[in-house]
Amino acid sequence: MSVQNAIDYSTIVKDGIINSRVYKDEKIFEDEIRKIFHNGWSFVAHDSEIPNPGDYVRRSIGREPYLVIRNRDGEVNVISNKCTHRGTLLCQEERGNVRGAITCWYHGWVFGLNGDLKSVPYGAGSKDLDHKCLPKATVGVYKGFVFATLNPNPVDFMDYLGEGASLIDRAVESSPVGKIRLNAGWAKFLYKTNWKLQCENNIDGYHVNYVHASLARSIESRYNEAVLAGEDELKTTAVDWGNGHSELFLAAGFSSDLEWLGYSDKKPMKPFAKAYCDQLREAYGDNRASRIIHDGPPHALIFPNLFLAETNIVYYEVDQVGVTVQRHTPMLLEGVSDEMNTRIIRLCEAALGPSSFFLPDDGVITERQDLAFDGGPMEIDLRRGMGREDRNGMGVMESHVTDEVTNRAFWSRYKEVMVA
Amino acid sequence: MVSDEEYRSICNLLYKEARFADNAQYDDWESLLTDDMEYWVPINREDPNPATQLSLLYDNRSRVSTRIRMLKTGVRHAQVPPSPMTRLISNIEVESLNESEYKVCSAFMLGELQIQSTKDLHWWIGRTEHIFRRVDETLRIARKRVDLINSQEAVPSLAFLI
Repeated sequence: MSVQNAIDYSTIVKDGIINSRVYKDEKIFEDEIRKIFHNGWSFVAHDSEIPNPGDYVRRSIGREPYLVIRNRDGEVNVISNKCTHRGTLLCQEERGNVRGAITCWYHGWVFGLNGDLKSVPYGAGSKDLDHKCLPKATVGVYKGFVFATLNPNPVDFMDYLGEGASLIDRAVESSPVGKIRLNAGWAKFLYKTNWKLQCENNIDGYHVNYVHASLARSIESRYNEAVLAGEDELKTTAVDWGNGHSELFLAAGFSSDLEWLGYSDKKPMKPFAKAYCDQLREAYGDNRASRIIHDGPPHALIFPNLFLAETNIVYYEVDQVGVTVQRHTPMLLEGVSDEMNTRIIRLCEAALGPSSFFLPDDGVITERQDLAFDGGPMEIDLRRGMGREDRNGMGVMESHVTDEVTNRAFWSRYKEVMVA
Repeated sequence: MVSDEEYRSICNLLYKEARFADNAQYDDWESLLTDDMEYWVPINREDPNPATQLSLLYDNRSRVSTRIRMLKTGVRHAQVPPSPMTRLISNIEVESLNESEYKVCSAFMLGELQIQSTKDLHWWIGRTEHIFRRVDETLRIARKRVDLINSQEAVPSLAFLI
């Protein structure tokens, strides 16, 4: 790209003020695909989705089709799903097992589980076969969460993850054996919006009273604290964990144990829930278990596309500048009763997805945003709470739950990546 | 086998339910349900077991009531205003299960105008399996399972009654 055509992100993304062009501009979208999704790390899968050698799931890096696949040594590879001959998709099914090798059904080229080209029919006539292995992404795995980048020399994976690692720790410690599994299937929700509007929305603690008014008026839920309380009474906080990762710390507003599982003083725990608490105490000791039982897993965004949504795992697939697919699945726990995991599946259906009690309303409100931006650029104001946020005891920026400190965390990282 | 009269009353209930859902007549729709009605839209087409697999929705009767209450608040934004919709129901096959229950399988095509934001016209297509039960001489809906042909693909908001 020539210097004249370079996009000046310093004028588009200012401190707390965002030009809405950033959600609509095709050139910016292409730039994001390259800088954020190809050159940087993003979430692609969890290793529990591919337990056996040859197991794969189809995923995208940016919009490039990839396979997350387990090789014979049990390692997770992320390899291109395009045949290096003429580009046909190698695996069409969303998931499966390739039985030792991947065969292209166009001309019969055969690739190994590490992407190596094993054989081609009538090979004597083919050219340059030494260079026809399937491109491999660089892979980072933390507690089963698989991230990938097309950059052969990316920033160190753990440096990228930063405090995101402790957010993942807090998600997986919901299991008494510290392990989760994502095998209840993914739902896919289509939003006619730019992907960043979804990232902003899921870590915005300011919208609950209005976007989710219908639920608050229909049932008592753990979100009622936010809906009913005055500004000074809200105890929940918004946290900037650095590197663009951020959290709404809902647990600060919980008044009883397992509120995150739907229990309260008015809805006493069922036997399986009590048994789950006992398992946690046995595994982690009273102190740590009490915290897990009270707090539950985090509500946090790991930049750019992974949303740890309490008892659910969510990630975004970028499709077009104005089309985003949200995928979500319940975060099932190892070492707990089947009843407990079924409860987690029911919570997932209530909270997320196209017919849930929350997300359709977020979807329609953000679609109205995206539509309104068609009229021409405007300045989005994300300065709420600027000046009253503070570094907490852990040295991270924390503020009132309705403050846009989480959104500013996202945009400050975005700017760093995009101007680089 | 079911008699012509039974078949006709079953079709009447199918069409009435469709009309109430299309017209966002939420109370009228709910009045057709048994006290233990189950409402289910699976995702997984091969193994939809709700104990182990995620569904798009899997409502027990209490959750159906919550769904209806939300739609009636007037601030369920995803259905404000309610989507203009028309569904066609066909290929109706009825099986008598016992003295009071029928299994009713049908196919549907539902055109929905997404009037709340994009104004896209979306086609929802699939098959429905109802359990109808006679309660105090009245035929009611005890179960509704809707299998969308694209349940495993990305779908837009489904906040209305499908």
